[in-house]
Amino acid sequence: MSGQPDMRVRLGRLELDNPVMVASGTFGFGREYEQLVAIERLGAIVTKGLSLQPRPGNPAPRIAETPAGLLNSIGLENPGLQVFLDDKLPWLRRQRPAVVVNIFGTTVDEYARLAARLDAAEGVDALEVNISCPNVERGGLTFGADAGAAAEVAAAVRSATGKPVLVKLTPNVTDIVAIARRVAACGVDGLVLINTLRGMAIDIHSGRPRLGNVIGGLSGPAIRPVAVRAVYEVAQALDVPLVGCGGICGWQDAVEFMLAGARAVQIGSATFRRPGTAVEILPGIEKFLRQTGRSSVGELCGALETGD
Amino acid sequence: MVVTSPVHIEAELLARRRHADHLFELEFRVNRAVAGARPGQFVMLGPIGELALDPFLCRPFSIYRADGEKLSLLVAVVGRGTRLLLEIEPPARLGMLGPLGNGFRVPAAAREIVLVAGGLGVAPLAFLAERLARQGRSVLLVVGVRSAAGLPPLRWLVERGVQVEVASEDGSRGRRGTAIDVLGRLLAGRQLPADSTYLAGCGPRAMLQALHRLTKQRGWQVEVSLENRMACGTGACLGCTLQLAGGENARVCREGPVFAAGEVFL
Ligand SMILES: Cc1cc2nc3c(=O)[nH]c(=O)nc-3n(C[C@H](O)[C@H](O)[C@H](O)COP(=O)(O)OP(=O)(O)OC[C@H]3O[C@@H](n4cnc5c(N)ncnc54)[C@H](O)[C@@H]3O)c2cc1C
Ligand SMILES: Cc1cc2nc3c(=O)[nH]c(=O)nc-3n(C[C@H](O)[C@H](O)[C@H](O)COP(=O)(O)O)c2cc1C
Ligand code: FES
Repeated sequence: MSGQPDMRVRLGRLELDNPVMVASGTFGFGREYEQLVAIERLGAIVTKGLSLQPRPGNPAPRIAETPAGLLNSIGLENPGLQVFLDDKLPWLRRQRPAVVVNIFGTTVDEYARLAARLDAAEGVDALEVNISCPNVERGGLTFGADAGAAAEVAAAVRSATGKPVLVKLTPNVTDIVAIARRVAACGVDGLVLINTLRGMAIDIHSGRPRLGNVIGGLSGPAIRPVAVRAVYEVAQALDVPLVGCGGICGWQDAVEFMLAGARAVQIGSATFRRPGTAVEILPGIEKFLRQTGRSSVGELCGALETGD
Repeated sequence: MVVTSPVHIEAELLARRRHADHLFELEFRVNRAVAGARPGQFVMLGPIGELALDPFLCRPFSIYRADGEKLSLLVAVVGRGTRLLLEIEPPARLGMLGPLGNGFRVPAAAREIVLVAGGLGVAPLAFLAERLARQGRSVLLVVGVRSAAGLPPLRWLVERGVQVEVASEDGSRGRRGTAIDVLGRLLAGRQLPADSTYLAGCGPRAMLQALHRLTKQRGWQVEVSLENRMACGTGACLGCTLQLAGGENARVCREGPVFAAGEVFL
């Protein structure tokens, strides 16, 4: 096999130059990494979760390192829609990667209003609907853990915008396929699996929780097997395009998600260890494709063999 | 203010010197971009053990010395990450992201400069003191420790013209008491002018709060350097956000780690 493999991927109506994105909340609004990462080589930038109004987030400490990962309880601190449109989007829109705006609301109506406002915003290529944040009292998980509520949000966003819509699911459920099925039926362009797992850590010396908010979301390689399983289960059951996310640190991990059924991947916490992780993964995937005689990255999707 | 933008490099660990029981200096060869750091800036070091996933996160450390292409950190053994870090035998390579944060902003007009360090807080203040002394400015550095066993070397600062006062809680070196006790005694009765006096503090939060209480009526410019848990160090994750006295949020890694004392404490 010679020549460069075709790295383009398509998630419903969202087309990307390559399958590697940076995950929401781990890359700010992109500019934080302007000088550190060859941003033009990313497939997409997913922004920090955005709400209609600014949110101050949770009390410190918001980070607790745990084995092969971390707990966070940021609490969706963000500057709100207007500041995003005025101060963040103008820079983002000039960048080459697709701009995917992660949105969050405390009511179905808030999700729909956000989607409608962003529908009109030039430079926003897609929305990623966060119904899976474990760190907020209202919204987040209350939508993501219930198939009916999840579908209600997905349908509301879907009808509020003509832009591609991805919905990000939580692993904190018994049957992720049931939720994925209802959300996919709303005609969304893809599903992102997974957000963080609810977790907790205690400082035994002080006898206090290690997070100000007591409970937080676990991310990093510690959750990768859970995420790969989620992608696999949903891919087996449904035809909707999937984006794998959870603990990816190297190209091998990205390939693992693709074999399980993901068309694209998101890099989250690994960026904290090595800012360039997302772009450094690309050549590894390309080399693997050449070595295995594949001419496009799409050929990896779901290529898992489970028979003898 | 010129702020160098951060870079991510493979730093070469050249030497590891033990200064006290749990206190080491790590000397690295970096590059000019990182070594061009301003006092008060820091680096994220790691991952510790490139392929090991645990510890997962990098560790923030203040820059203690920087010159040419060399940079030193003063590292205390605190937990697993620092223990593993200090087991690494030089020469070795380690990821380093920096310089990060804002750094101290000593006004050009400052004539009376007093730096107050509690414990490891001495790292960024030693760097600042050395730079100011190099500019020929007179600097008093008060270093507070529990006992003499926790002291890093200070003679190099004295040789460069920094006036150093040691405060030890057990009286084993210098004056007995905390850095703030000693500062209080040094300042008592002195009329330092409001417009040309600058103080900076780095150390435990309670010490910084005490520094603020001691100085807030005097009209001096007082800065404090803060710590918080960090994941990214670049302003992206919002893990290090603190609420300032006025209620607004600030990222220690980006808007800080140096803040005006009055911004942080009421
Ligand atoms: C801006 C800044 C400058 C610093 N400068 C220095 C310095 O010059 N010299 C020095 O020895 N130490 C410094 N520290 C503290 C140093 O980062 C911690 O001691 C170190 O991270 C502890 O890691 P550990 O694995 O040994 O401890 P553990 O307690 O096992 O670490 C667990 C987690 O908590 C974090 N953590 C623990 N203590 C602190 C702390 N005090 N501040 C921030 N995160 C912490 C760790 O990074 C890690 O994510 C600084 C911290 C900050 C934020
Ligand atoms: C500090 C931090 C902040 C996050 N913020 C968001 C967010 O705002 N919206 C969201 O949908 N996911 C958020 N996430 C979840 C990540 O996007 C990702 O789904 C998760 O961390 C798993 O991937 P990883 O193991 O590669 O980090 C956040 C994760 C972290 C660690
Ligand atoms: S450590 Fe991530 S924003 Fe400060």
